[in-house]
Amino acid sequence: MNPTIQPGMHPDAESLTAFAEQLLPAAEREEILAHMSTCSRCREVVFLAQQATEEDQPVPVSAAADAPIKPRTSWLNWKWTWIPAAACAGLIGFAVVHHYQGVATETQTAAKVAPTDSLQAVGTPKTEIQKPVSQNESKQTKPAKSPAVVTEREIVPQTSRRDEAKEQEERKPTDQKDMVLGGAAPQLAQAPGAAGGSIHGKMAARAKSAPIGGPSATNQFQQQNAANQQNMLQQSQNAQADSANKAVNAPSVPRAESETVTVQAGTVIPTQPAATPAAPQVNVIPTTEQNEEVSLADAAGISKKQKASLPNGLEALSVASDAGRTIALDTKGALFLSEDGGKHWKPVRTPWTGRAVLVRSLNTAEKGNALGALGAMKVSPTPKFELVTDDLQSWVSADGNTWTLQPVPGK
Amino acid sequence: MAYLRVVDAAPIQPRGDRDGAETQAAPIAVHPALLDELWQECGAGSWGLERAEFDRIVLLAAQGQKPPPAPAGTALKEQQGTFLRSLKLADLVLAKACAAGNDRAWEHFMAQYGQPLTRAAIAISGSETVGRDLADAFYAELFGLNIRDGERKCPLDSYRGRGSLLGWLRTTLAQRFVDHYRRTYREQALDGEVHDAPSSEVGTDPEPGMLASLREAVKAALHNQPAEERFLLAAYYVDERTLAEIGKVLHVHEATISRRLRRATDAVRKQLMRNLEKGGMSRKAAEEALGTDPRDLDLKMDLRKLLQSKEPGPFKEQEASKPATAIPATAEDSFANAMLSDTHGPIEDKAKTTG
Repeated sequence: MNPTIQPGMHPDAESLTAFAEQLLPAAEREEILAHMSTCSRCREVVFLAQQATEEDQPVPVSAAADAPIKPRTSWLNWKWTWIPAAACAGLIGFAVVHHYQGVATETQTAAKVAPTDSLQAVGTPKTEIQKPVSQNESKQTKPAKSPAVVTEREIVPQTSRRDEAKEQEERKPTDQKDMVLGGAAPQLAQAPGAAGGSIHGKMAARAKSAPIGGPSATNQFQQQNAANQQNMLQQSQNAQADSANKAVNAPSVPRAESETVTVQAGTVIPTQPAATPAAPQVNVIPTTEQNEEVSLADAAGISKKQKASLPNGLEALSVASDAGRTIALDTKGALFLSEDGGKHWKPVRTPWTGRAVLVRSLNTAEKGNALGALGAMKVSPTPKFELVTDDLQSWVSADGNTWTLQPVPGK
Repeated sequence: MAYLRVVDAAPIQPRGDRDGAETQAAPIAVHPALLDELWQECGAGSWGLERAEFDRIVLLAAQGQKPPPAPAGTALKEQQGTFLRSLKLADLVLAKACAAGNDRAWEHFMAQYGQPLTRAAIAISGSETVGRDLADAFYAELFGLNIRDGERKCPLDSYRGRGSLLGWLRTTLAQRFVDHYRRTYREQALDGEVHDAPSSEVGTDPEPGMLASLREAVKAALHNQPAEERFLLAAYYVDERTLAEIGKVLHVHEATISRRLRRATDAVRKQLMRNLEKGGMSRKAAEEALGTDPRDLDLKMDLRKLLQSKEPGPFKEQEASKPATAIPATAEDSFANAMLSDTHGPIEDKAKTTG
């Protein structure tokens, strides 16, 4: 019972205690508060009682304060560190997986492009790759970093590892088989710029990476690729059927370990026969791993340092050499001719309207097709060069000075 | 239990009490089953209370139920149970047994509350000597050594079990201490300061009209504030309690007290401006009045009166018997500054600011 506080009266100790202990109903609490807002005596009583309550309960606090604080052991201190550690590990794992997925995507892209390029590459010049002779060799000549080269770097060790395993089992003869069958697929799957081995393949690769000719050039190549699909399939079948012959021929070619070879992906363009009449007895299927030739730069005897010493100061984009004559394209499409192995250059007037992007020696290609298996890299006395512009025009020249437009296959 | 079986047929009626007045008002019946439950819950039998005494105490406590319990036999057991369980029944039974002179109850009381009571007295008085004296005097009072009108009076008899018995004891001790201090502080020598003394400058205010308007405006502004806000303002600015102390009394965090104080101060100031403008003062003059240094206006005594005179009746006596140390002279200055100053800084805890 709490009678209403009358004027001149203070709330009794019961009400003040209930107020301090929060046991009063709201209305009664308001009444007490209203009284205490004007009554210093009751405020004093309440605050003193509260002070006594606090000082009467210091035991738990002091006990807790006096209790020895156990130093946390190191593993307890580190018990939550698994969270950032797991996060870091997850990030690293994600980065690694993402990296390899990106590489795999590039490989798949190259694999998609390479067959079509190889179809276009019938009888056309080759490109440089590292000879897949062994893993050590591929490691010795590390190419510059580029998507295509990265693809090559990722593929070659796999092939080499597979080859090494087979080498340990069956040393000599099966090694040649691996060279033919096992090494063919990766090389075919390589990026066109690196392993396509054809002018059109390079063109397609450049159109893809740096679209000189624009999307229309790529579409044009795709149409040509589609037209040659049947030939490609037939060539692949023939390559498997004639692998025995290649196994016999391939090991007979002695090569230096550091030899850089150029793989000719295929020679199935109808306009240019795959095998020349000069070597009819050699039933060679022009697969990538078999049609190797000396790179154009090496064949011309021009080092990279020499490439950069064109008269206009630009670097040589493409170089071809035959019969003592060397032609070179700079990065702006200007053509230069040298008759002394690259020591002196003279500019050549260009009849084409577009920009020349690649030159090669047709004699080298034909001889490579026929004699590559035998390792005969002799140069024909009559030079014959081919040049391709960014608008897919093909020009041929016998001396490097006079150029004639060649009709595009299929048109 | 045999007693319960006998009275099971009819609700238990409270027997005659020493006071008589409590039981004569209306006969109260408590359900026997409820009494059994309460007896078990109370545990009073552990310190030797008889069941009959327990039933008597419970029936007397049931008379304090609001609304008054129904006549005998009609009151619901649940209603009575709810009311009786809302009380600190164990403490109530112990206090009533002590008041009745039960020796076992006193033994239990002293064992349970002897030391806490002494510690509370020391804490309240701030001195061990004074605290022990206070505790001893209170023990004598509790034992009923005071005889009034030929009857032994025990303060425990006024305990009704709404709060804890220990809290009641502390509050009662605090009341005794404050009342004793208020009775005796004027007998002490002043320590060089004059508290609550009429200022010699009162009445020399050059602008009595503005001061009167300000006084009325402050009174109205404080009157419009809720009771809890007025309590906060008084405890903080007049009593100079810390935010932590106020928060512990109101069972809220001191940060909450700070925010509410800030709101209350702002509200009072806005209301003050409105009241001044309503009183015919222009806004500029009102702002000037609020910006006046309260020390120049000697607002101390007026603020105290305003705060203490909302209900003039109850506090006239208190003003004359206020403890000097409870309200320092600077309290009014701080409150007046808070009310009148244009700039309102954050409400800070005095304990922190004073170190």
